[in-house]
Amino acid sequence: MKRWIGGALILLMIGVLVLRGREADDRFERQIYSMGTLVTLTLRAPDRSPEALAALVSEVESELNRYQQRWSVRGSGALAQLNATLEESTTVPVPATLLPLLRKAKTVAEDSAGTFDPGLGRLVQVWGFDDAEHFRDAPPDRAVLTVAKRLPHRLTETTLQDGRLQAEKPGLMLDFGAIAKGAAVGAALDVLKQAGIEHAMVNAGGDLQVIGHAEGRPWRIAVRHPRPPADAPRLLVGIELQDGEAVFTSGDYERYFEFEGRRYHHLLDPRSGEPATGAQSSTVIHDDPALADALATALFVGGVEQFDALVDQFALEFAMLVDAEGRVHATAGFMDRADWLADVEFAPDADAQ
Amino acid sequence: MKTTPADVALIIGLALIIGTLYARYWSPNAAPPTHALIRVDDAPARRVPLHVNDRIVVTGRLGDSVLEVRDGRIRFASSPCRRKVCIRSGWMHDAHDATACLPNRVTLSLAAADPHYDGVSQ
Repeated sequence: MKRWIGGALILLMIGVLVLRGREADDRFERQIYSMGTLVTLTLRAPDRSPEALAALVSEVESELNRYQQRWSVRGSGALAQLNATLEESTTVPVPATLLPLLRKAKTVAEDSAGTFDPGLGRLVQVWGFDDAEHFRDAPPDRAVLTVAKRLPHRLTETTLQDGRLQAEKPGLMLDFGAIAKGAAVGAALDVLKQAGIEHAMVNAGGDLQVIGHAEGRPWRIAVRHPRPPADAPRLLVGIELQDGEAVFTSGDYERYFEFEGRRYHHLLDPRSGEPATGAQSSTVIHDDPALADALATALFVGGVEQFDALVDQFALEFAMLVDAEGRVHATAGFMDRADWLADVEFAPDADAQ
Repeated sequence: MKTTPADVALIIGLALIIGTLYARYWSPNAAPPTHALIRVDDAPARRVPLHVNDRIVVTGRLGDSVLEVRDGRIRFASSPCRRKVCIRSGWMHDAHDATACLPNRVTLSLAAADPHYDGVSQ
């Protein structure tokens, strides 16, 4: 009889734990269009009214739209005007609003062995990846591409001094598409932090940063599988994020076209002016979202050959590359945190990199 | 020691509870999406249940995009955009998975009542 009672008590205790479930969900979620993508804001601030949070979302939207205007290659924003000057001139004063990110981008470009360079704006334009509404069906005419490659297309070959950018010759066109979204995500979170929000996630089309935590646990994110098997989950790996961490993934599945059996995607190799061929996707976790954005691109372009060197150069603790054959390369730190959600073929010594 | 009916009941009960706990908290597929959020331009999102097979027509900037719901999944079946990137995204069946037809300004994201992941990096 005593054993019946003991067993029943144990079952009762566990049952209570199971049925209690998770804490009440206190999330406030809104989606806005900006930076050419859908931005999802998830806030946890149960002490604020929905109206107050909606007003905060409007502030974030305004900030993102300022970023979009400022960093757009087209239109009349600061970068578009700077590019218009560079079209005819070799020297241009850099507006104060552009200077910090331009300086950061230049540093990454100079340290990344040619795998990241915002100077390839004209090549992006020739390939047609600058405009989602007018993607090409086929690679550009080789003669046009050759002319574009002859024009200046490297920020590393410029000088930035006393707030002025000097190119070797006219024709340089800057495109910060591989770093500005990261900076914008960080700016959006800054707006929320300044308003006293302690727990939030900003997710700009799959590139995201978090502060605080979710309900009683860390924020959990999954990384998309670049080549998911048919009818299988599209997720490759799950990760729990710490306060302030950003996760950026670059993949060849987002903006691309196929021509004669080959995939041409938007991640151009600045060294060749052609789509990079060494990877299917790359992921970087970092406290600086702009760096995470830029370095995810650099790792993708560098492929397997430059993965270790780039990881060392930028002291990346948490990085992963899915190479062109679908094998996973990852830092030891990434491997320690990874919860694999698909069958994965690891490159030799993947956990020792 | 002799096994009694109480021991058997306890073992069965614990096995059931452990199975429930695993399915609910640890399995990656613990939280299948329950609905899709379809959004056109800046309009409020339309919520579509995934347990009802359906074809949904939404009108965006370029014209009509057709979304197909089948067996708990959803996909772009047709769209007026040129590159058809949205259609090539295929079926979506994971919570927080998302895709979009940016030229037509139609976005699609999956949500679960109790999602295991808070977002998908892609």
